[in-house]
Amino acid sequence: MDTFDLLRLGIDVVFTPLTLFFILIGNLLGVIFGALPGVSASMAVALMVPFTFKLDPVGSIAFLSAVYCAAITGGGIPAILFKIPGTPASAVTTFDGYPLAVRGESGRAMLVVLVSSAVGGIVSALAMLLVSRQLSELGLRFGPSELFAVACLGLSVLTSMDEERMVKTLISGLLGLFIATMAMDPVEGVPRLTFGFSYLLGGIPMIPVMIGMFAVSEVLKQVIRPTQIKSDKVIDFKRSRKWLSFREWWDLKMTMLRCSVLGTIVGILPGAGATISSFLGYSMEMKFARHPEEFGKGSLHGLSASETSNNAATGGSMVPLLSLGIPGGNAAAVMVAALMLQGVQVGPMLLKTQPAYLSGVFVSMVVTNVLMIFVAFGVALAFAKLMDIPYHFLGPLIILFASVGSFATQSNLTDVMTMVAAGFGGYLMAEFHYSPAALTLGLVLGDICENNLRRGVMIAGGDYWAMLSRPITAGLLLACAVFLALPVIRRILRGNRQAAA
Amino acid sequence: MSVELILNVAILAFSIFCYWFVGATTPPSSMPGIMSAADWPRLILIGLVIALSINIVKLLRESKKSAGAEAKKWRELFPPRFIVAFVILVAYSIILEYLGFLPSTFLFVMAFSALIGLRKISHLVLGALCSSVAIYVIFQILLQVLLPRGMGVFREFSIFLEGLF
Amino acid sequence: MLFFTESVMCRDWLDTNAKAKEECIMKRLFGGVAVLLTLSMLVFLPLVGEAKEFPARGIDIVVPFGPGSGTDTTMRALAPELEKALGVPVVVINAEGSGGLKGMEFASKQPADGYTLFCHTPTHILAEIQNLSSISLTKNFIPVARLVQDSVLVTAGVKGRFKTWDEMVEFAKANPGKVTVAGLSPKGIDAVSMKMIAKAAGIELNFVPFGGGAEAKSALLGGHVDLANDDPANSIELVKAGEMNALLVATDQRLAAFPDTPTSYEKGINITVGPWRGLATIKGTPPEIVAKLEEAVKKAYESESFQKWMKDRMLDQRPGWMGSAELQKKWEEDIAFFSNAFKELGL
Repeated sequence: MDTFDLLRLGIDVVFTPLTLFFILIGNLLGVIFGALPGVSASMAVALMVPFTFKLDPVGSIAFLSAVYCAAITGGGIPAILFKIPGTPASAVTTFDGYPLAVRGESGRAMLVVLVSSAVGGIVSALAMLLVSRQLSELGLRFGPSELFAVACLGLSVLTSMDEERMVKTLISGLLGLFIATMAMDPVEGVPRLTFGFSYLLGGIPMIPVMIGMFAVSEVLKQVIRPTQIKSDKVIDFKRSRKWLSFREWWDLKMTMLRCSVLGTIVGILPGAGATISSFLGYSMEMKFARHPEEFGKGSLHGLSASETSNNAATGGSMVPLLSLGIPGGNAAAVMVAALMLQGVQVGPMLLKTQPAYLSGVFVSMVVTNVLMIFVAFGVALAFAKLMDIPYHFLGPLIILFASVGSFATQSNLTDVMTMVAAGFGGYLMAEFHYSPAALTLGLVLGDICENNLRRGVMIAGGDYWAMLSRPITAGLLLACAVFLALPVIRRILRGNRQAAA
Repeated sequence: MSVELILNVAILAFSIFCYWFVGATTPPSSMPGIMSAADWPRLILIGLVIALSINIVKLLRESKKSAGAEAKKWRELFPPRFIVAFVILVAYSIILEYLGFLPSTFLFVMAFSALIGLRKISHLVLGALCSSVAIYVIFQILLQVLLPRGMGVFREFSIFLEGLF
Repeated sequence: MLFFTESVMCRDWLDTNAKAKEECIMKRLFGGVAVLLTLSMLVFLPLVGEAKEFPARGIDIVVPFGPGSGTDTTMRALAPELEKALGVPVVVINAEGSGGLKGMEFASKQPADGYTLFCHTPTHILAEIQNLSSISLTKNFIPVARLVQDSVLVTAGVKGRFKTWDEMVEFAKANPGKVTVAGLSPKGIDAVSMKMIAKAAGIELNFVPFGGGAEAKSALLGGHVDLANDDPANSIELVKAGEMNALLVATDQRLAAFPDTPTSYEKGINITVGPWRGLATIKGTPPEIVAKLEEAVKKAYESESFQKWMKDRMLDQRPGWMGSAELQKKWEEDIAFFSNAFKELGL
């Protein structure tokens, strides 16, 4: 079956009134759920499963993948407006999105987020349709040692995040890595640095820390030093300065392209996903950027990198699901369960015997990613209205969203305390110019880094050299070493020059 | 001594303590030649200790240069408003367990709005009521997220409310 | 919610200054809210303390793992049937974290009135043996019923070194510790069962723990590990497609779906441990309520739709059902059995 037939098959599946209607609803609800902190993308998909009983199996998965894509995009809305990541995958979006909003450019930020998301989603959907087989084989090549190298590559950005305050950024990142080790040891299965608290056995939860560091600390800062966030009339289409000029869009083309490819690949990797993808995309773009010093202060490139990569990961994560039947993440696991309820076994035969699944998901994702721009813009407008509320109501409201967001995933009130503590820590770090962003980077990548290193060493029977010299691993680690050292060397050289002058 | 310096020294001390503690509380690796539970944290702690030491030296040098004038003072860093805000947050995270979501959220929003500068009692009550009910409707009723129910009579109130929808 | 949108809308329409706008909204809101509050209080107060026959309201099932996990899907399949049997809403709550412990601690804090069911697995028994939490399954909960029992299936990738169990045993005997096997938590049920199987077979395996079933399977298919500890439902499609071989199943009888896979008994390994999923409620719940719950769960279990779900999920391969009394005995047996296993395996 050639690509054209595949495509027509998919269009036949999706363009029935009922499925199309469901996809539209899925889009709307997905964006809203994603924008509400505390409802992760996988939870959004799980909430939608009962609706699939009205659809046939192919329609169901097309519908659920639409919800998934939309939820990941929706997470960017509160990230820009309130510095609360709606889903963990949009934590990186806060780095540049919120500074833009403070400057009164939330409309521009929102546009960049939506268009980047759509580009990332569509490119990865195309990759899924055309080279699914090859991609899933590529994904399987990444064993523990390769994944360790990928995580290292993400960490290598630590030295270039803020070149003026390299030591402080390093301390922040190392603290994040250290906090990630306070948990049940992944290999020996013994409590490590938990000081007897069973709460810590699962590790310090990532979502409350992120929300606390970003949103709560921001509210605390506003309480003592109110700075009016300019509410941006995003709706005002007449004022063209709110829009991006063609030049500005054109400037972002390489960022979107690179991050689409990266996000798709990371999405395929076992154990990674949209969150890690956005951190890696951001790290990579910082290396390529002409103005890396703008990252974290409202760079459109940074914003685009984050959202392109996390949406590209959605297409990527469908690859192992459809070609092998292995769900790459929680959301995919929910989709498998939903299909099973309809009596469909997901496995490698599915793609060979029923290509409609692949093409159906593809068409649904493309439709979703285009529709989403408009749907999410509408939802964003509704959310932007909240900005008009006077701060004596908005401040507590942000804390409420943050608390429910921290609480909801584990139904655990200790998580709310963790969030408050993280808010305090985040405030102190920001006051002294340490980097909360670096800390979350360490926290997110710490587990995947350590676990895969130790797995790799175990598989190699304790032979470190054999593990690290595997071709992909060695290549990635070499790149990582160069990235780590480059800013340091540049700085020393600059220092020498200054000393000579 | 500046706040930043004290924090740096405290984290340095804690890191050194943890370096010892993690080795003392985890067993050696179960297979010869592979990493034990303590190895990875220790690797990070070494990096942390080095980075902190460099930073402390830098801070000391800067404070000597500027004679402590530039460093942030306690008062500046933690003004009374900040302390009150933080206490309200901590109190909220504690009473959630006992009073349940709606009552504790109501109290929290009132306290926090008042702190930010709202003085009218009627506005305080209404604002708190609207925002807590709005969040309750969105999460508990529409999304079926189980919000904290509280204990005793508060629990019964929460369960009664849930029964209505 | 309504007031809220109204206030936002109002802001948009009027174009006076913000202070006046706020005033106008507030006044409008005041009346409505006051009426609502009084009304709800009037309805609520007489209801407090009123006793009704069980169940008077909805029941929560606490699932200590995330959406899409095995326990989660089982409970979501059971919930609609349980709803029919009890006549009240049944809501599944995910409280994941710390390998199932956070959910257990959350459930244990609920009152002993029968309105909270806790979905548990051998993981919680193992946690009790290791003293991982101050809450323990046997001391803080009462068993209601066990629903399903799964089997352990040992698989190998087709591109890997081993096609059969015997081939693997032979190689492992010659090269102790060189055969790697992927599984989940290092002291969880699959690690313990795998180590017991290896011990009984007289070989030494290198158990590599992975973060999730998908990660473990990718490592197996990519040839990074030799074997994986799996379950029938999650491997049948890959085995059928010829991507994996099923080497051994830890049961006493061959599974209908894997007619060519030898059992552990055939290989002289007398181990049939496998993960199971059950329901418990909080200790102190009156016995008549527990009996009612057990009866309802049994009805839901026997329903056509749940039986079909079990069949699709290949959980019908071994008898799973156990009532409250039987499950109580099973808990005690498992505690004794796994404590012993931990000692013997030196965990």
